Amino acid sequence: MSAVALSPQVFSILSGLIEERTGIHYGPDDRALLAEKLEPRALERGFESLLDYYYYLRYDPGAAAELAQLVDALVVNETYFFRERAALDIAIDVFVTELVRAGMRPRIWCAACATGEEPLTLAMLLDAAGLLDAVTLVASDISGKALAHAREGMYFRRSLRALPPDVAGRWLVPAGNGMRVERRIAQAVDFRRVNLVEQAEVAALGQFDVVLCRNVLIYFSDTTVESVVAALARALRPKGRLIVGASESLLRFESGLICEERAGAFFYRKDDK
Amino acid sequence: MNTKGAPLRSERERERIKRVEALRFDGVAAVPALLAELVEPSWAVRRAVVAVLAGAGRETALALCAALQNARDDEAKIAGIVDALTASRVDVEDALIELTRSPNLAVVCDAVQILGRHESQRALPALEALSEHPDDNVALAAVEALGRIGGKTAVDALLKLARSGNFFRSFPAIDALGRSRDPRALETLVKLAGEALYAPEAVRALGRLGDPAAAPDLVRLAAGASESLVRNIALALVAIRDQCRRQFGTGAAVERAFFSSPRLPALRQQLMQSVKLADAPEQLALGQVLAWIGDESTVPTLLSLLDGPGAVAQVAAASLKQLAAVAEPQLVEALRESTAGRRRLLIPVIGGRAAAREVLIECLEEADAGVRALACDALARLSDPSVVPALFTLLGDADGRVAQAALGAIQSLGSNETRELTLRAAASNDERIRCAALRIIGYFAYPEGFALTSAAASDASERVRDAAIGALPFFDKPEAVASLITAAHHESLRTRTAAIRALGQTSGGELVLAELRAAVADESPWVRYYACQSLGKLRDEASTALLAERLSDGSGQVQVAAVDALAHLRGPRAFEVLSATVGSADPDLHRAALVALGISRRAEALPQLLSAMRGDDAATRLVALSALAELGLPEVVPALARATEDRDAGVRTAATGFLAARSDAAATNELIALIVKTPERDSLVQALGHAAPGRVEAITDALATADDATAAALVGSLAHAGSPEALDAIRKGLTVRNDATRRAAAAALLALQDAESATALAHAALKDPDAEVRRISAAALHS
Ligand SMILES: C[S@@+](CC[C@H](N)C(=O)[O-])C[C@H]1O[C@@H](n2cnc3c(N)ncnc32)[C@H](O)[C@@H]1O
Repeated sequence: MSAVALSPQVFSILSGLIEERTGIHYGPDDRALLAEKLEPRALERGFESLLDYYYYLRYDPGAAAELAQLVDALVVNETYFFRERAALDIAIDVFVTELVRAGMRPRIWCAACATGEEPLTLAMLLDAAGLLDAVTLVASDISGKALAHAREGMYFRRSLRALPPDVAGRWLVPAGNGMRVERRIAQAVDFRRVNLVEQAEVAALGQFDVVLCRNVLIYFSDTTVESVVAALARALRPKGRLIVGASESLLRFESGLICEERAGAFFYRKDDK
Repeated sequence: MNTKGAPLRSERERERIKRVEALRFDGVAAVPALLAELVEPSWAVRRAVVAVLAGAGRETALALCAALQNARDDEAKIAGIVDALTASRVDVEDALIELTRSPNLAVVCDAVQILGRHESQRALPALEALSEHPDDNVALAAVEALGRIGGKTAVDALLKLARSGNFFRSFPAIDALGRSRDPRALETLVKLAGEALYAPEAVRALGRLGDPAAAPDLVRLAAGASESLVRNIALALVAIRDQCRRQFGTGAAVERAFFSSPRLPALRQQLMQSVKLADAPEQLALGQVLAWIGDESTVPTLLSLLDGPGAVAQVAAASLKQLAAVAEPQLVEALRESTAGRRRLLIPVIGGRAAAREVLIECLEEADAGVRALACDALARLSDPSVVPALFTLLGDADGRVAQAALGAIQSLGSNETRELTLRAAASNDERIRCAALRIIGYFAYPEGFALTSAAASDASERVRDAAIGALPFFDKPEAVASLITAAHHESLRTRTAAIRALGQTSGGELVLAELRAAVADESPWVRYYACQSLGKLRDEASTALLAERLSDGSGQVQVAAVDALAHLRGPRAFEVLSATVGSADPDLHRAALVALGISRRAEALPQLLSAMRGDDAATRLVALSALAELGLPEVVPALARATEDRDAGVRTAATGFLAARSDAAATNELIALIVKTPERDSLVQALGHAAPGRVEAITDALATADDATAAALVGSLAHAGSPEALDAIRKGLTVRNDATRRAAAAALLALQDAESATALAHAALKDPDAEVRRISAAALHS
């Protein structure tokens, strides 16, 4: 039973605002889902109508803070250690190693890192390869709540479901009924808040040799994907690689990046010309 | 706001694209240069080359045909040529047909593929011949092309191939026949379904074909079939049922096919057996079939499916709901024994049944909050006020959804006891319980609760004040207004805001209006916002000027609220202000003005609303559309019809809904015209299926000249309508001159299992001049 109704009109207006600010796209079939997420926020703020709540998000000086909280409620932070590992291995074994050998300090960015499992996995793999001190590792997400969790460094069963046998004890130490990331690994990652649809925020991070942007583009519409990927491409150094999720493909977009396949994983390379 | 950048391309790529686009003007001479650009891969360049080639004239297209034969040095190049020729609108079918005689079989395959995509009728004889080509690749390409082209000749050729006995030809032909949706494929497919080698493929194709006449054959085939074939059959039956439901509003013909089988109990066993090794889509199908033929014995199997993936569990729950009447004790017991996950699914299944009362009350103590909330909702539906005390215990639940559900349930149940329990709860130490109690007091407007509500409006807790203020407007008395006015001057902004909003929910009066008019100039934008809204709700004409002034308020939300308020005022000045605001560049103000014009219901608003329908922003078009619908004038109907083809799905759905809600002749005519144009759009068929005066006659008129697809859709609307008059029109359709209408009518009568038309169908099965009508009528008699 819902206390606040979401008409198709107000849904269209609100979902438009959410998409504009976060990229997250809601189709007409997602109306009930969105209403369920919005309702508690609106009631919490003292609004009995979602249109009133929309005007709050549009016009009130407190909108930015409210939007941040709303985003925390909307995003799906699902992730785990060593997820889709093959691409990470190749990124390190091939691209990163090559650059370090050439005497450079590669910069790696996990865009949309959620609660941090992905960049921390990278840090572990880099450590195993003896490269942890040779790289700069930046990780970011739009969700402040997810980032707070990442900085906290405590993980439980769900995050640890695909852990290879030798990891626990080496980089993760048991703590309470979960595991804590070893200090050296945790400190190797620089966590920042970045909204991928805000091109200025992306540009402010500088350029990278490897950008991971996995399992987030699926929440965006094609137009948004196209502009986010363009911004990510600009954040790549020449010959830099963009890595997206195993089930995501950029082939239908004119990204200007060149798709290559290695051992079943896909990489998008920036032209060096 | 984000700045959307153009997709990034490298400098070199940009240069190449520029070069490619310049070549557009060089005609056929540019072909070699353009093809050369295909060799070095770049999606952007490739797209540009294909677009230029596809848009060029006949000479270029012919040059591409030649290149397909002569310039096969590079795969990327060949693929580009095929894409360009496929997209081209120039007619070079003869040249392509010529290419199908090439000694190079790869060229033949490419040409065949392009001809298929063009749905070339002229190529049919060549394709038919090639479908028997000794090379399997060529034959396969030809079969696929025939499938795409469809129509009598293509289907005849596919039928021949399907029956050829040649494994490599039959399989793709069977698949293409299923996709053809051509009823002539039925007989052959049914026959092949009886042959072990072809059965799985043929059953799948029957599912795609969607013809309910296949249902009895599939049921017969299931008896004694292997488990895997049984699963296939279930998938096919569900696909056919879904198709029938979309088309005719009922799947009865398929669901009942089992009941004429003498082996029903054995079939039931077989279906239950085959669940064990089924994958998720098969489980989804079996779960549904088990509901059609279900009894107590199928309940355990369906219960086991509740633990499957989300969609499977949902289907199993829906199926169990259909069986709730025959299996009530089993389901109640299952709910008692279940884990939280199953309980969440089972509560809606038996929620409304009195026998579930005890176990639902047990569920109120379940650790899982979702279960508790669902149990509250279910108890609300029992109409048994004796459960109210149990619900009161959840008003202070730690989970907000549960407390909200308990509150809703108490409000919908009421009872003599409720009053006393509520008054006691209003004195609780738990703030959440107090708030809930205040809401209930307001909802029932208990006179004994007024004093404490009024006192609570100045409670120390903000939330308690909120709840009391929300309840006060329900007490229609001056003291309630006085308390609200006091609250409107509270030091907490949130409380002031709530009070101003609540004043708009009272029945008004000078005191209230004076308070609100003053609040329009409050320092807080949110107080001003609700003051405007409230004045609009109370239709205070005297505030027109005051509200109009707010259009230049410094806060956007106040401007919007002023527009919203003016919409409720009748005077000419209010309308004038609104018309002027429609032109606002601020999208919110623009939209609010559009909504307001709809509420005004003035014909003068029409041009502005129509023009807003041409805007770029989907949300704005949706708002304008709703306003148009609100206007209610007959002139809006063509605009509604156009909007059913809007590029935004939300607008399309809403437009179809608005058309469906109208019962005037204009709407009927527009819907018929849309269906004639796009008969495949089920939502239109369903919309036309709503009852309206004169509609059956109009549909009957349109049927006189309809082609097959349109006749099927129009008859489908009559079937959806389901009124005696509509059914009669379908029966009469069996006797009209238009073959297409008779076919559609016979198909509908088959799907509807219409007993009354047995004689007419028997006559048609023997005497109709059209073979297809005879076939369908005979099938209808047999099922
Ligand atoms: C499913 S998680 C993916 C985590 C990780 N990359 C992985 O593959 O396991 C998606 C993340 O995208 C983030 N996200 C969604 N929209 C975003 C945006 N506009 N900018 C940055 N992050 C965003 C969400 O907060 C969420 O943490």
